[in-house]
Amino acid sequence: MAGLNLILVTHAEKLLEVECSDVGLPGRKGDMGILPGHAALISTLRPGELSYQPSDGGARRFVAVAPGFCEVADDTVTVLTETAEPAEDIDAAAARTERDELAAEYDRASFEDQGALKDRVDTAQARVDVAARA
Amino acid sequence: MASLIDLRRRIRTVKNTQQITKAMKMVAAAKLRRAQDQILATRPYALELRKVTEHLAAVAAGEVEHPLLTPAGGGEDGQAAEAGSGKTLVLVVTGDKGLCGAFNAHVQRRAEQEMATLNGGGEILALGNRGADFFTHRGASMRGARRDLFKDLSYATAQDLAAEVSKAFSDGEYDAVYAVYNEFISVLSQRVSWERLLPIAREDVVGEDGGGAGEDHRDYLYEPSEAEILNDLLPRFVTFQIYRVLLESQAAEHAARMTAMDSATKNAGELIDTLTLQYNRSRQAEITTELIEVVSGANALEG
Repeated sequence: MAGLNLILVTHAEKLLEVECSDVGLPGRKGDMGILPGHAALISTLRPGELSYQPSDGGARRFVAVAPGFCEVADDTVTVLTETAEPAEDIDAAAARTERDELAAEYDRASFEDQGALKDRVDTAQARVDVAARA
Repeated sequence: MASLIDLRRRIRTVKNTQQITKAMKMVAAAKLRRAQDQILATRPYALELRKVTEHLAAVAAGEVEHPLLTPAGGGEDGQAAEAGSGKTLVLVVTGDKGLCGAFNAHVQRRAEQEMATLNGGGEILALGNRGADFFTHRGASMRGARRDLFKDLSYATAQDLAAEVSKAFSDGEYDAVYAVYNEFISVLSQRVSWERLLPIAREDVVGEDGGGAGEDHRDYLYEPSEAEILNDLLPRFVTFQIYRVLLESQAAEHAARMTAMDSATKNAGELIDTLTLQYNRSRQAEITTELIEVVSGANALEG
């Protein structure tokens, strides 16, 4: 069976372009699993965990992503995000400190500022979660 | 005529200066390469962002109203000014440092020209030390200035700027936001560019006549809705535009400095040649005079 082509792009680089058999995406409205033959889809992504199963075997891989978008068409999954880090590249301890700092800042912030901080806190949380997967 | 010691001293100073300009040229070249790599690295993101926006805008064209977008139907500059303040915000992107030829001066001059033609007045947001100093000194009406912007330019810098600018724009403080910056054409040439950032022209996101309409009419699923995705996407579009402008200007600055320092090095070389020639001439003249003195002295004794 034909696989999926996953392309992960950040503003700074094309991070990934791999063949895989399925992709898990953190959609704004809930997690999505994409298998080959998926209908064309455009969705926003929340900060969270992107996972994929490489076609050439091996363990399932995890990537922490910041908010962004994805487009699925013709068995190609294109993910656009501001930052993305594979699980093995994340320094778990540093990620935890960052998360704690941001969470504290979030608690102190006014209601209006919280809106702007929310995504950053979630992104930090995602990095901690994904680091634990490595 | 300058004495030999004076000449020697001058030659030495010029040589020192030449070494500095040569070093600066090399540094600029290295930095330019990095800046160019950074620009190239944003290309895939730019392409994908454009593709997705075009798809969306083609589908959702008529129905989407977003504060950052020109109003539907009208679309031309004139109509935007209905309820706003009439003011325009101009982002002037200069470098943090000088010694790069006319790089900063060109942008500043263009900014002043454009400001003079704006109806309803404009305010400047100066990005980079040079522009900040220049416009503060001139007493131009300014919203503010960002200094030391290019020391470590990152996407976060652009995000901060975009957030501030978009907010001021949506709050109705300004009717439009423009950017003046040096566009990087090649190492030898930069072009001053005057570009509208906000409101986002429909044509910019939709492309020529309705954008992606012609290419394919796949039925996409949208999650959440087209409009919501577009709302989420437009602020990112603005951020990315600002980021691109900053990167372009950074690359152009290094290129301009490289060219300027290259010609400074060449000029110093010419100056050294002239001075050396002059030095040798006076040295020979001095020797000749001394010889004549010795010879005529000897002759006098014999006679």
